[in-house]
Amino acid sequence: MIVELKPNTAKQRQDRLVEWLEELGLGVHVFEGESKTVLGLIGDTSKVDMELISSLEIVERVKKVNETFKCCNRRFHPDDTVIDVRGVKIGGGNFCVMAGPCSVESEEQIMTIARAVKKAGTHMLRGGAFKPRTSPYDFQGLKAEGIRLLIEARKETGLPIVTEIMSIADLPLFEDVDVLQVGARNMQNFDLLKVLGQTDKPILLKRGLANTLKELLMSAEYIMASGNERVILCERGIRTYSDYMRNTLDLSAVPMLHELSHLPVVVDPSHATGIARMVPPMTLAAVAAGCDGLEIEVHNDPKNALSDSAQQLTPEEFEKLSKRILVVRDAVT
Amino acid sequence: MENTDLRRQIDEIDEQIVELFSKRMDISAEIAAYKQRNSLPIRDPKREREKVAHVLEKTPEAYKDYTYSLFSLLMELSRSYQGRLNGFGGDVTNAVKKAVESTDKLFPSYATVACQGIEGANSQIACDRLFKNANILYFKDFDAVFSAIEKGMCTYGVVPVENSSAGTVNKVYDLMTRHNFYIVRSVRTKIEHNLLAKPGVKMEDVREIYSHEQAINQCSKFLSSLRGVRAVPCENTAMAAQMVAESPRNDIAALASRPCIKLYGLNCLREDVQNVDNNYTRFICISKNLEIYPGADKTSVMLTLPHEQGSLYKLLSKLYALGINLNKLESRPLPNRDFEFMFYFDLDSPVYAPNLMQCIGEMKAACDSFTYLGSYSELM
Repeated sequence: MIVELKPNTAKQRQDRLVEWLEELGLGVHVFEGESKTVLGLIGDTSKVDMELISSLEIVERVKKVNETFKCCNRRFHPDDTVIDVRGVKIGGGNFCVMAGPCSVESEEQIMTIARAVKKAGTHMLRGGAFKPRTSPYDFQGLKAEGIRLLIEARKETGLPIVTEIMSIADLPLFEDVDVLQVGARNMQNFDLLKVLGQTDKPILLKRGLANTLKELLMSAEYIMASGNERVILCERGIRTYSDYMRNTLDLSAVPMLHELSHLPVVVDPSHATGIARMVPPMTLAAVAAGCDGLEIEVHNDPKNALSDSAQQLTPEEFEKLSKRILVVRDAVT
Repeated sequence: MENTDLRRQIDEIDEQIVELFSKRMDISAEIAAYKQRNSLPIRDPKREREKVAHVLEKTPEAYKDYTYSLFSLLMELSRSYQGRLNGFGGDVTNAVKKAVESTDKLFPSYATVACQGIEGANSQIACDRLFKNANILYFKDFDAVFSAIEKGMCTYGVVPVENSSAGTVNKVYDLMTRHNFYIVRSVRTKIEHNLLAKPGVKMEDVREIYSHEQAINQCSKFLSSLRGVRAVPCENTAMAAQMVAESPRNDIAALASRPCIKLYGLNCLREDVQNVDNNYTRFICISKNLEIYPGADKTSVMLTLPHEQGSLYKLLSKLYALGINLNKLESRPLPNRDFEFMFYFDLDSPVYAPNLMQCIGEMKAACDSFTYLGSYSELM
């Protein structure tokens, strides 16, 4: 249920209403926008006297929210959420490109790529240290060493770093990481989500390859309900009947997620297509669809990459693409 | 037969009556003890009806009316005796005692208070007199004010109950039967109406005057002295002021309270335009909990009476017998019942007086339903 207050409502009146709702055992999510204040009620609202609340002079309207996701619901928070990562902003008109290798392989590799993507104007550096691979015999990542190297790269370039966390047990290693990524396979690892909800790190939550948008939002809800409101949603392709392409990039998710939620939405065209030459057109399409950011894989030597060699762009290709991203963004905003 | 002989016969019968009456009262006492053990009410209307029907059947036609009166009185005396034995008022007496002990000695100066209307409404003026510093939450209607205290959103509510010139606020009385609440204080507030308009608007520009219907009635003389001006009723006086302030029109004015001048940035064209100078409204302050503050000298109760001859008269005679003055007696029809009424009594007696509790006990025993609404003092 949401309660929309009239503009210029006296603070002590609003406070008493919130206090009373909390006395009823509800969670109250107070959104104070520029034009209006909205109270989002979380919990069993069936016992709340909607009529009494509507008859309050300070209340503009009361609405039932049928969706099960509340904290990430746009109705609870009409304005876009803007997430600030070391001064880099994402969401609410702030566009952010995260680029880097699929896996961190060596100091030389990550430094070379970090410098290249920085030069191309990227905002954050991505790189895998813990790799969720389909085969247990494939490269599993450099783990703690990978994170150390990312931090080194951040020291030199100043780019905030994004890397994936797979297990709760690894959390202490991520203390100095800027954005924690939850991969598609872990999207419904609810225990992991709850623990991440207790951290103060922005979480990049990727949509599972067989998950609906509602399930993605419910996963974001897990993180937010545990106290962490800094969640970035990521569309990375879903499994369909389409052959030739690894997954189908569901770009319609971008405007729909924007409608349903106030959280920033980024697109990962690299994993969605799995083919480097498909990445630029799908990147531009994603930008045209209105995404708040991109996650793109870039490798200095894609052919010899230890993981996902087919989908990574060279620094040169990425630089070219970066320029075209700006053109499309200009055209659509 | 000689007259003296007849008198002798009467004496004999009376002796028997006294003996039987005493026996009857002894048994009545045993019944009282049984009722107390089983938490049963003193009054048992079904048993009384059957009793009366039974004795009437046995009575010769010529005496039926007298028998009826005699047994009504017998049963009333019996109830009164049982009431005395079982403790007058029982639960009410205990609740009052507890409330007198546990209530703070001072009426609170700060509280969250529910009022009907918007800022500048007369309820606000009453509220400001009751509390030094109130956080007022305004509600659309009186029903919501009662709900707000019942559901704990506000600690107190302030609602009008009567106006010296326009009479009882029926809506509020009707709501009393539907909510659980206690009256903890009352206040009499002088209501002044002022003619307010936007700055720059002159008296002669005004073509329409907005206000609450009661306010329009209370200013009828002033309004009829104006030529070519129409009075338009609306929800309440403060809303009229707000509407005038927000309207683009420069030919309208509102009858409203003085605080509305500042609140809505209006100009006062004429002060105190009500017909009589002593236009008062009584407001009650209600709470979910029974609180009795020192100096409480008014007690309010509401009750329904058996639908039979003389039931109200009998009740009033109890007040007379106990020497308790009645400040107000209000009756309102009960919804969905044919001419059955809810009676509201305001009793004038210190809450500590023992005869008040006896009165409450006897009233309770004589009524179909009885609700104690609280003991309080009135702020003048």
